[in-house]
Amino acid sequence: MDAALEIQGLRKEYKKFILKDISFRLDQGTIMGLVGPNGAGKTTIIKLILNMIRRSAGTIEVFGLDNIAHEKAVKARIGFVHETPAMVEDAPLKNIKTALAPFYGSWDERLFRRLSAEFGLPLDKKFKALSHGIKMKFQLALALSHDADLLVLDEPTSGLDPVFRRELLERLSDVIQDERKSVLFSTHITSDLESTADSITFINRGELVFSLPKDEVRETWAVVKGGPELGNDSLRGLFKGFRETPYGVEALTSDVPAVRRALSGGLVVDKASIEDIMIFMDQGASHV
Amino acid sequence: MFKFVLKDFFLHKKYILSLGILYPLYVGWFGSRLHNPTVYALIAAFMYMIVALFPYTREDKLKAVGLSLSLPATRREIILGRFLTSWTLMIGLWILGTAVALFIPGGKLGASKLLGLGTILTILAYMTAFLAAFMPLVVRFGMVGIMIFLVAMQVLGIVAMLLRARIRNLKVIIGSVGRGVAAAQEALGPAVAAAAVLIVLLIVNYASFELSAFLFKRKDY
Amino acid sequence: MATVDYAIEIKGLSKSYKDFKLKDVSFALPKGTIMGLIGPNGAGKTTVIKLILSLLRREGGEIRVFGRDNREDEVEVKRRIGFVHDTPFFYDHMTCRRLKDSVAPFYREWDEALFRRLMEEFDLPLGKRFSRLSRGMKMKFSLALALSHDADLLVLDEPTSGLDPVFRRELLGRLSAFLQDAGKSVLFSTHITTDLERIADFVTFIRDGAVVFSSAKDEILERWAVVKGGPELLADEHKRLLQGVRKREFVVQAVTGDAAEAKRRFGKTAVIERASLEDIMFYLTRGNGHA
Repeated sequence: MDAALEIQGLRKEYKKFILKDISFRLDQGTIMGLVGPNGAGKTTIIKLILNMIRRSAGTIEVFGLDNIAHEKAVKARIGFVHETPAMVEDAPLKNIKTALAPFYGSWDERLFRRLSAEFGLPLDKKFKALSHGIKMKFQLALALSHDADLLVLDEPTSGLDPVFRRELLERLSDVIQDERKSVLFSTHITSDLESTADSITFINRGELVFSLPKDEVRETWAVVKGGPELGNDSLRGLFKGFRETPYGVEALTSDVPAVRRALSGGLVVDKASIEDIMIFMDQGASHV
Repeated sequence: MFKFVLKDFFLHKKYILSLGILYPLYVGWFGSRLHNPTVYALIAAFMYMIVALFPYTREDKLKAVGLSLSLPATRREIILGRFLTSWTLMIGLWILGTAVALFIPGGKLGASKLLGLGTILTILAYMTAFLAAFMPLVVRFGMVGIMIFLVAMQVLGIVAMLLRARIRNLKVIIGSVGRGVAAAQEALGPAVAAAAVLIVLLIVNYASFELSAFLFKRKDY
Repeated sequence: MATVDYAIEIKGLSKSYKDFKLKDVSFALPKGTIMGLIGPNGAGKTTVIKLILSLLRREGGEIRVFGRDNREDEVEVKRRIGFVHDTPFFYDHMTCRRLKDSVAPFYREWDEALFRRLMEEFDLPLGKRFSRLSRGMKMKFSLALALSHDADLLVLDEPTSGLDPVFRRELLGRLSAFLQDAGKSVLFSTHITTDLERIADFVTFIRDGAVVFSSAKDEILERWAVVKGGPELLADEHKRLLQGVRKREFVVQAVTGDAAEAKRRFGKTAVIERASLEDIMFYLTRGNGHA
């Protein structure tokens, strides 16, 4: 299967933060969720894909083309939806559309009108007068109307009510019925991913923790519940995070068989949700 | 490339239209009260340049540059688009302003002065000077850059006034553009002068473009 | 006779705007419990909260906080409420310390030691400018302020919006800890219904300015179910049982407030699953034929 997006050894250095060794691959026709705590580097990765910031090292290929060397060709095929979009706030929607449409050879005006009607977009209203959900839908309408093959969404569901969220996710699922299209979306609301994503890429503190098909995540990661013996030195390498509860100790592992070998009975092993993984791995970190 | 002009126009339509009416009116009226075509050219160029750069200082303030960056266009093209839009606006405004100046009764500068080759070249020269100076500043520092520059100019002006002896020098510097154009006309005759001046202006614009594109390319958003 | 003590009692509340009306809203929050307020954007959740805090003037109905009318005894009522807002309206350029200094004197029971302890626990430097705090830190600061004057009622409006799961869990942990103290109550509106499912005792669902239901969470999750089946579900006889009907592809989906009855009628022909709060909200807002 061809890759919609392929990132290798991506690196970006800031004064107080380094994004490093990021490599993952988004297969065409799939949805990938990009998760991680605030400040982990998700938005940085997305900005690097769009070349809004310059990378320090590594490669980014979109449909096989380097995203800098072929910037125009790449951007013509990307649709971008952002939680806090860079917008000229007091322009009416229809003006924004008129300003942007000519840049895309594949612009489909009829499709845009149809989507506007479906989404209930008030085209005469100014961007800043819209509710958050409608702002997201507008961006999505723009992206779909130029037949974007790769949709990149940065926290699109944050701040949306569950109704809007589900609608948006349903719409994304519809979009990839067309197998040429792919979606990358970063989010905090991990429950959205559990229902929609095909694969999950987890970023923590500037590094890649894993990039796996969703089912594999479920099979590999687990929360082990037991007593204080889980904290034994001999088991150190097996666990990625600990929590103390009133009932005992919980520990996160990505290697259940090894844990079972190391410890005898009396173990309760639960599948770890993505939220669990994020919370366990953040132990002791000073989050932003 | 015209799509860039269209984009900026539609994104900032309200502002462009309202400023686009106010400023020419003001300059036109003001211009009709002046004797000196060079001073008129200076003021007109300055005011129109402000309108021309307005979309970009706004975008910087609103952090809306990201919008242009998500479009299939290179950063170089985006800057070229800015220059195109700026010139389109400035020329358009200048036409309007001149019309106002011509039709307001009691104007001191007649048609011959307003539409004379010397005046035209002088205005273009001042426009070039301002745009070339400010565009890289806006790209690099945004709105803040312009503010700093203007404040610095004010300070210089005050200092100059305090050191009265310098005032004449200031006038000399500012007037040099106008005199340069006049001198060229005298020396080379109108047609050649026009060509020479235009070539010089083109080169200055191009230099500013290259600098702006360079600065823009290096910026992280 | 044991009567339940209520932290908040709202009866017949109404408020009109140009294109929006809050109509006949009634619900009650028993002391010592957490109530979640859910509903689509624009449904009226923030309006209700602002009315409770008398930031808005109500037009009809009554609001009693700890038995007192919230307008007549405004000052006394507000003393006992701690409010956390999702976009805190503090002066951005002020430091946390200054902000605290401007707020603290209004509260008789201000506990400076507690405030400092909380700031330390939250890892918030007093000298930092408010504008320089991240979203999560701003929320934590608001929470620290709200918790430091011995408030008996915490009201939070979208506190977790934009925060990652780590923060959210922390906040929920804080709220649970807050409630350990009998007599303390919490009302919070949120979009992240999974958080509510984890922690709330009661849930009130507001849509289009009216209360759809206000009940105990456990009861809700037991009684409601999602029903998915074929076109036979569309029959007239089922119209009262099945709400929020949606047709997608060839599947008919709906939600019902009477899972037991649904199982009796469709147990063999349709898939009946437990409904999450999000499911209920979604179907009742986007489906047809909702009550």
